[in-house]
Amino acid sequence: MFARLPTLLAALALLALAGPVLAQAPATSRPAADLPAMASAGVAERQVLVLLRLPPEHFRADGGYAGGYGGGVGRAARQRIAERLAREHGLALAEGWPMPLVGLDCFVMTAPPGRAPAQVAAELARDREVAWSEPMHVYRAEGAAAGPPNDPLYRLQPAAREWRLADLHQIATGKDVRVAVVDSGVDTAHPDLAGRIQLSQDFVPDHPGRAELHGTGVAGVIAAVEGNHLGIVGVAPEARLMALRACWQPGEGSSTICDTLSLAKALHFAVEHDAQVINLSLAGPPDLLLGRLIDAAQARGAVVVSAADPRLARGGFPASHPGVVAVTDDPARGGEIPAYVAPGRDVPTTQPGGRWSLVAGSSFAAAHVSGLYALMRQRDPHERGPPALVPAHTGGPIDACATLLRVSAPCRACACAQPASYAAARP
Amino acid sequence: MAAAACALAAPTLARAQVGATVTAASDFRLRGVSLSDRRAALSFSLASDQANGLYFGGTATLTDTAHEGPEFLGHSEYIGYAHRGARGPGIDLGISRQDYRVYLERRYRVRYTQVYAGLIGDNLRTHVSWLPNYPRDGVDVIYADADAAMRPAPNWRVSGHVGVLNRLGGAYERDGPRHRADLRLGLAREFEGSEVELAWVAVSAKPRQHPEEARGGLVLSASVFF
Repeated sequence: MFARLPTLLAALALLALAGPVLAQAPATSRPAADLPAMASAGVAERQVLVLLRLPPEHFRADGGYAGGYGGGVGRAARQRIAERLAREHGLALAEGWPMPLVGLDCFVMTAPPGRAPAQVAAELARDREVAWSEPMHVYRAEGAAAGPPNDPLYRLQPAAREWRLADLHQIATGKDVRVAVVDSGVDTAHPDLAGRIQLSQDFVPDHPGRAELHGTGVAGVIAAVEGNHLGIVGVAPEARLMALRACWQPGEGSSTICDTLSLAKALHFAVEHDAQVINLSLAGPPDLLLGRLIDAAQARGAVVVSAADPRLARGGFPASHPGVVAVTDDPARGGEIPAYVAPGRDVPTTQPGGRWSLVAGSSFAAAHVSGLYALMRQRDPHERGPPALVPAHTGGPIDACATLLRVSAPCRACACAQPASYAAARP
Repeated sequence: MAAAACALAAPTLARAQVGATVTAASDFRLRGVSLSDRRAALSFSLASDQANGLYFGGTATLTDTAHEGPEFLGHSEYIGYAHRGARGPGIDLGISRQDYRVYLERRYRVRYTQVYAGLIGDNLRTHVSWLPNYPRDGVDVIYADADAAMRPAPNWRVSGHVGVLNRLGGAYERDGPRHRADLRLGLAREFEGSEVELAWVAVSAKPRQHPEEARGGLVLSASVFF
């Protein structure tokens, strides 16, 4: 069959090295970038996710171990199944992404125009090889710019007054608490975020735009540096941010959007890297895959905070998911949807290009609460799950001082323990 | 064992994930010891994972002998069950059979059955195996090992393996050292449908049949997955 094994060894090595070239055949992974460029969520709205079971790593006689990702042999088997499914259902296989934390291998397939993704997903789900299938959902960030760039001061921050930020920081600053900002791109070079960003990862490289308004604003509310004579003060100014770009802003002035897969990739990364607080300043329809990943995050002790959208049932997803801390900026809605009320109006925060600006929306209310949880985690790092927040009154805004004091050691001398009148906003 | 695997798998075979691998390696090592006299080897593996957690597979290996050309070195099979829930580590239980004719100047045969149990974590896998009557009747071996892997960058994988073999009973002269550790550190580049790995493999003590062998060495391998 072969003359000499070394020759075959060399041939196999060449074959292995040629893998990326050979893999350019149609219907294999990658081509999200090969698909026609998406103006916004256009293609995503024609896509379905096909979830195949990813078996746990187990003994193999050849000793191979791939660290939970199933190894090449299992991956090849699932790729083959995905290719068959795509062929049989007339779909284009776009890309795949293993998610060992939830025991799933996720493949993205694009339906031709005119076919409803929900119907395609229902057909795919009937196949015995498929764990489940679902349409790719689109999520929108719950915030917007509220005015032109200005020269913000600490005193302008609603949290400085309403949450007595300086008093909170006598108790905790969120030191070294890992907060995942699953959002659009964060300006990692912003001077008010200097040293706060532990890592930055882009899960939507096919939508260029490294630093974006929404993600940079959310990051600033959570962890802008304190005492640097610049801009604002984050709620948790010593937290360590994971800037996970899962959303993008399709164009100037357009809203920030994300899809199921980009969010799933970022959530998986956040859980895998032990995020203690995960901020999701977005809302959309319920999603099984994202729900599983949120469950996995909560099972590992992470607090998941989400913006609530009053226009969606129960505030939308993920705010409506069990265990998720739902937050709105609208005090009038606090009693209507099951959500906490936090500062989210006229919030000065960081913006790309080293600027600051006023923003508004539940996105930024959620960011305030993520910061507050970072403070609580610093005081009580072993707490599992989200401890309840203390509202000032039923359905009213969060009393941040009372919330933090509840998880802290008794502190009669802390300003937070004094009546609010003592706590003038201090720069 | 193959018949048992087929019988157990039959009801769920339609939902199996079946894959094959061809691996060419510069050496074939078992628990750190070269069975191919540090010569190149070619392995063919089949693996099947069922939806219910059952799995089984096998490997056949050829080596490139010095004088007779390619020659069958041996085979191994395994069948087991793995399960991992939403939280905490998973479990892995099974049985494996290995049968190799070690290619050395003086041939000898390595043939044993091992029963194993292990825990599966996110990036770590541990097993304890019992090898009854190995290397000969009346001598048992316990082998404990741990594997870890991480991905420092997309498509790159760093893996580590450490194992300790403990012989229960027997005589030193006849059966070799009572304890022996093996270590493996690998760096792999993953491609679509294939991978290349360079690994450093070492043992703490040489088996008595391998007096000439170095205790450590590099192994280059290339695998193609089907």
